[in-house]
Amino acid sequence: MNCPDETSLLLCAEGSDDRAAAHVHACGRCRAIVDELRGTIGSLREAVPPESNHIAGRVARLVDRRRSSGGRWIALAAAAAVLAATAFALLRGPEEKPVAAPAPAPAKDAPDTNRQDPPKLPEFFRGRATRAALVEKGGGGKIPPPPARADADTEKLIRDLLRRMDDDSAEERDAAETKLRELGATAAPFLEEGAKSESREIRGRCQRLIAALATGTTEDLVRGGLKWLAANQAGGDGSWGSTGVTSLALLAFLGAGETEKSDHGRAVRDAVKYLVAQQDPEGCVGPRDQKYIYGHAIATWALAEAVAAGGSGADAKKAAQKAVEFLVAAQNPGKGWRYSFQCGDNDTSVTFWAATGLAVAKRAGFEVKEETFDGARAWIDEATDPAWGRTGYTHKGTGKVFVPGLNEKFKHHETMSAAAAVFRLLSGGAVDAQTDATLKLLAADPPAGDLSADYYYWHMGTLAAFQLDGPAGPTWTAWNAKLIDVMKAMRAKDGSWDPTDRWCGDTDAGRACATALNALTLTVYYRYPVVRK
Amino acid sequence: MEQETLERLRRGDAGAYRDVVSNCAPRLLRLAERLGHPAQEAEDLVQDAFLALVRSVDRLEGRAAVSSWLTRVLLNRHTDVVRSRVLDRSRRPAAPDAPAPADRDEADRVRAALRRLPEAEHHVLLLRYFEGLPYDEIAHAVQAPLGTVHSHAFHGLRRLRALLEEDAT
Repeated sequence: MNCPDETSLLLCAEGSDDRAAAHVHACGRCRAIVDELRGTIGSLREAVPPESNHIAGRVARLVDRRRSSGGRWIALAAAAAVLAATAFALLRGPEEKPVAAPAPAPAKDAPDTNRQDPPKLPEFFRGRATRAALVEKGGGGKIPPPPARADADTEKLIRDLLRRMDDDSAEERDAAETKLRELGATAAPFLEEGAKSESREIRGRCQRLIAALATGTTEDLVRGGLKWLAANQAGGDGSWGSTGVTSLALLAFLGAGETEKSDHGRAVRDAVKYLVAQQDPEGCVGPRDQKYIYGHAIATWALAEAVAAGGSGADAKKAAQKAVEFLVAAQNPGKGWRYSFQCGDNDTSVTFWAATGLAVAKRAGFEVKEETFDGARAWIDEATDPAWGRTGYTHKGTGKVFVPGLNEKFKHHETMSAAAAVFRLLSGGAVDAQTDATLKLLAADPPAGDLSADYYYWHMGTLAAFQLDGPAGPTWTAWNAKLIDVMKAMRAKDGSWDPTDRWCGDTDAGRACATALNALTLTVYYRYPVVRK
Repeated sequence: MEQETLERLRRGDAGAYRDVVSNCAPRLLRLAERLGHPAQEAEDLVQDAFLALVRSVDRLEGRAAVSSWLTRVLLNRHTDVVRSRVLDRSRRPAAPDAPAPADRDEADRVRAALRRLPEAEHHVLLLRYFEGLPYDEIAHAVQAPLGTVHSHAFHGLRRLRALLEEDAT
């Protein structure tokens, strides 16, 4: 009698088909094989790894991202991933925590009763928008021609308005600024003087007005966004629902030249206090949830800038120092970052926030060793396809990332490529052929609405185009024009942004996140100088 | 693949995506982790698989279950990741030696030996004995004829036994 084939012996050993059983019983050779198979199957079944305790929770998150407050980020990832769609998912705040709900009526910031000039800013953060710089570099391409010289009465009025911008009354300061704005280009030469004033208040407002002259619409958008954020900050703890969103909002205020002593001083102070209070003994800012390094990285960036702007004394400085140290320690040795402390995985989205935040912190005076940036560059190099200038999310060549049921229909953009370019520049890296490749990618995909709307891409692309092409460059100019169009189109009447893009979703947390990110994006003109040599 | 599910996916029915994710994600996450991926990487692989489903939904013919199709994508992604790691390791200094056999318990030894099998045999044994899938579903997932899958299982088990005995000596 012929012996059964392999399949029959296998199924016999498993007990799933006993048609060969009689033969196996009678045939010593086959019996030995089946016994051996049974023994190995038994070993395998005893070696089944235990199921992760968190599977159910992770699946629930995957399923429920559409409904969870702010969960669409990512992502930040970027998503993220992410954007890294998943990337930005980490910006979600604690589930049980109410998200900053829109206030019935925006509360005006109380006049600051303790106004004084802050310490001198580090060079990198200074003179974010002097008119001279804007005119020289094109200022977004919309600097009006110099007007006819103001007559004596107009000059007197302008100088009076400049003085009133340092009044003790916030209303008076606002009124003077509004009047100067209405005077437009006629006031420009005096604003240039004002931008060098000893008074921080006059200096800051003049810089804003200069920027407004260059791109009036942009300035209006920023002011509206900041006003909405100030009115919708959680009164109890100073947050906007989570560490990540609070840090983005704080960066937006700081990027617009706000400090703890300016008009939105209360919002800035409360946000800094919130972040300091969120820090654990090891230096991590925010809860150590699933993707906590995201929030911690953005918080580190924001705290470092707040300290550079003279924020919250020893507590903030100590917190920022510890945050920097924790972020440096969390880096994968010789590579980038991902969701948790030295987790072994890298992604470009988290690495952008961590490494670029540390680069800015270094410019703000915090010590960060060059090897930290070398590691991040090694990751970016590994994830970048030199032929096309495309940088992937978790590896070279990653394409679209999405959250099922949320944003699969949205268009993919080169968000990670732009982020990589910004990191290279702000960390002092060399500009090479990669730069031109990235610019081409951005030029081919300017900001657009509907299923192209992607605030995370607009943020990275805006930073990259401005830094790579310079304020007078053709790619930047074209990008900026499109950006302003779509930003206007997607803004709500109250100054916030509709969270109807690829990542932010449609909840209150999404609105805070969208508004913080877009306001931050629009401060690009004066946030950092162009560092490309 | 279930035609009704496919039709709902093609219509962009968000509920269909939620259902598919709810039904398939647990097994996919478990499988990714059992293939040796850390938790976060496992989630990324699973998300990649769902992304592939969205991209391909118009081209799918419905001959296999959605879950089998997603398993196949996950295995392909896993292979890509493993290969890229191998390439990466080849450019780095050698890692410290793995713990000696005596330092591991029996289950660890079995799982370690399983990972040393040829890829096709590894996948089939994992899907069959860790995940408990029927052979026809495994055949869809690994894109191989049923007889080939049986053969991979048979020879994989025998090779695994040899590796375990070799490891014990």
